[in-house]
Amino acid sequence: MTRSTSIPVLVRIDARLRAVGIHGPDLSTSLSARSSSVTLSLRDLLMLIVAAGAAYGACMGTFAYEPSRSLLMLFSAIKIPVLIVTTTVLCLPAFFVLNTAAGLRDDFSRAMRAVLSSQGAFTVTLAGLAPVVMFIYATGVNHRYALLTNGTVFLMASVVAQVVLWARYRVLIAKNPTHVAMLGCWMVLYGFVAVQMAWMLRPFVGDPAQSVSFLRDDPFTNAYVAVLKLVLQN
Amino acid sequence: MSAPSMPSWLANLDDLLRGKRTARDQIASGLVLPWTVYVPLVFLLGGIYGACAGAFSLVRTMGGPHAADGIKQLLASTVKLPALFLLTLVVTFPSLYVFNALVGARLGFRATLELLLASLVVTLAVAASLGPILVFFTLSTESYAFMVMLNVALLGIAGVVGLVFLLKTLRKIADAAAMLGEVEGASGDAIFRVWVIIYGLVGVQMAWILRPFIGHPLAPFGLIRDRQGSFFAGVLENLQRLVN
Repeated sequence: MTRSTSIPVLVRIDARLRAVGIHGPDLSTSLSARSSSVTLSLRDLLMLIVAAGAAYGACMGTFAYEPSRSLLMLFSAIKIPVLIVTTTVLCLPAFFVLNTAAGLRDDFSRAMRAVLSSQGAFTVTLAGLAPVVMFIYATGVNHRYALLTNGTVFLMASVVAQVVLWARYRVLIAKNPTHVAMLGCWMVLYGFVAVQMAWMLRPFVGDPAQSVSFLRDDPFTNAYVAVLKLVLQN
Repeated sequence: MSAPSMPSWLANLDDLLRGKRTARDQIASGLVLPWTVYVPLVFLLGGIYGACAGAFSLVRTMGGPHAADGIKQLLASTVKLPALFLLTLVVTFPSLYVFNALVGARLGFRATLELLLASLVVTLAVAASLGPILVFFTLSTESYAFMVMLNVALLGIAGVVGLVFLLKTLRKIADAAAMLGEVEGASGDAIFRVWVIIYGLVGVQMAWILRPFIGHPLAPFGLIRDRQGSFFAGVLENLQRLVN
């Protein structure tokens, strides 16, 4: 397989993308042709998550664009990385203690790397699909359809992230099957917190009928209570 | 591999969580679970979780006329949560000891007590590590009923981890004895299983009489509420309130 890219920036980006893919450096010791030659430090992984997340967020905020609403691009560009990183920080202590109690402390840095790599894959996928979202926006769809588009893109990125996460965890699971339970714990905790975090950080796609604001007027409500009420009132 | 700079209580906690204290070779040469370290750890870790639970009252009364109540609730919860676990142990330990003695169990009085304290430390370490999630929901939730259910769920998770630790360690103790060819002395596994249920039932009722831990935003501060009802009725009532 030849890599003819010669522009330095592209070479670096290419290496980073491969590093968070399913053939990333943690996966196996054998260096196959497809495997990444670059091991990203945790700092690099974090930078990648922030950069790619912000890029998608900025595109997400361009719905019904007019110069007076350009702040929405900045808001969403901030919110996507905040959503991912803050949720991770909140769940980290529990993940650490649970791994330790399960006797898996020695694998913790690899587990964390797997988690961050999957988040990297998530944001990179989002960024890769950003042009599609912009195209759909450009066709003049309404706010509901814009939300649906973003929801679909998030779903696709989640699937990619799951694939990467399990691929990265395969070696750990082969070593000790308890890692499956830990991965389950992580996904439940992360999902539970992320839903509320996303609810608080709304709107990501500004409704043209509403004025521009960083958060909704009622950010401090509970997503689960809101959904339960909605379901039971109908 | 604990760093030399780690204070001894933290190194102790770390060893316990990593399972070094209850490793097979440790058990064979005699379990060392220092209660003088574990009791303060129960207060520290339980206090952290208690403070996170009590923060709801602080946040909800902040800036209002009852702001002082919020601070009182936070302090009360910080003390009450470790007290809940230790008092439950005090109430239920005699029965376990008697059962164990009757079947001629291997573990003596002190060893049993220290093993249970170690399980509490594991439970509360997990609970404390879930504290940031609890605080996040505290900041973003107005519903008191939701917070009650979230606390029940988080303490439930912590309890399961502590329970798994306890049963695993008992299994290892039984295995170690079997390897030494010891035939006398029951493992007491079945008794522990029954006892865990007793502990759980007493624990939830203890939690019920020590209420409030979270502090209803509209109720004035009180160290302990009037004695009435039960934990299970309370949970059901809460589920209904959640949707109203």
